[in-house]
Amino acid sequence: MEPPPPAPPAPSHSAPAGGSESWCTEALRAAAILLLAAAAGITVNYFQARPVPLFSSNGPGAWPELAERITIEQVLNLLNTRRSVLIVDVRSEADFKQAHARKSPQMEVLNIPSGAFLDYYHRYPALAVLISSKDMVAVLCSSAECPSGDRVANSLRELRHNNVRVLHGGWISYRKSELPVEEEPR
Amino acid sequence: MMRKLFTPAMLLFAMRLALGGVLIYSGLSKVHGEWKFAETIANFRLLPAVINQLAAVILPWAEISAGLLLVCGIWLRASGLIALLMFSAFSIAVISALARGLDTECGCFGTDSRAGWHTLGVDALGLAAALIVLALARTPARGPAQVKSAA
Repeated sequence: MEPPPPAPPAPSHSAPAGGSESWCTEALRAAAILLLAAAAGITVNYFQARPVPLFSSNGPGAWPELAERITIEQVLNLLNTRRSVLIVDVRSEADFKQAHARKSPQMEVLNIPSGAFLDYYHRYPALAVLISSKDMVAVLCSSAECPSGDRVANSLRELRHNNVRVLHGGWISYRKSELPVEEEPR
Repeated sequence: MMRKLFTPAMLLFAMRLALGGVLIYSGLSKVHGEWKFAETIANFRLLPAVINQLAAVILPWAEISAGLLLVCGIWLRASGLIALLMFSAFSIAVISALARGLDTECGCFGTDSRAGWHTLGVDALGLAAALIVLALARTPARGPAQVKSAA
């Protein structure tokens, strides 16, 4: 009687069938995916109604210029001399709800997050009228460094609203001032 | 029963779907808002205009491509690597903004939410998911047939 044939060797637990792929191969695959994504993105951008200029040092990818600032003391002076002020709070709705400037007969307060501001401006002509009617419009951000607030202020100045400034120090400096604050009840 | 639910294969499957789904959603939300996305990237004041503009145009499609590959289970390590690089870049950008006190949108999912600690938390979860995919995709999942033959 012939002995039974030897059992085949057990499959290796660590090596996948067909051999392991090196990280170089994976990196090349990742590069191929990114190249295809770049081709798709550049093609779609070309056909957009408002394509992003890809190799321009100006355009949406340029750092926003620092807009003119107004200090909280200057805002107080305006209010004390009975000038009208509009605070455009460009923080998120959640931050605004938590605490915001309280409106008064001389000071109106609007919350429009910076990313949506221009959409609102073009959709609601009354906003342009409101901005033009005020002696001063102060764009209010969370902090002193506010590129999104700078964009809003610069955009409004390009739309010929020369009464727009960014509040120096943002909400932090507003909070420290004597101007009234409305907070969400706890 | 519980051991069968939490096998490496099941974990990889769950991470693939979750990470892939998030990337596809994130990419699709940015596809027709490249101009605004370029402005958002520029607000972080990290890279020059040309790079910001290229990133705004390419990144959404990179997210969609990596997400689709993850969901379909194709080239898992390559797409996991792209996810890892993207979430690393997002985390670095947010940390830099927080360190400099920058108030700007994060550009996440096409919303106006600000770059903050919650954004960093989401990026950290994405990083963790990408690392799990990379680690588990090194060895193929072993189904019941392979387990029986090995025994």
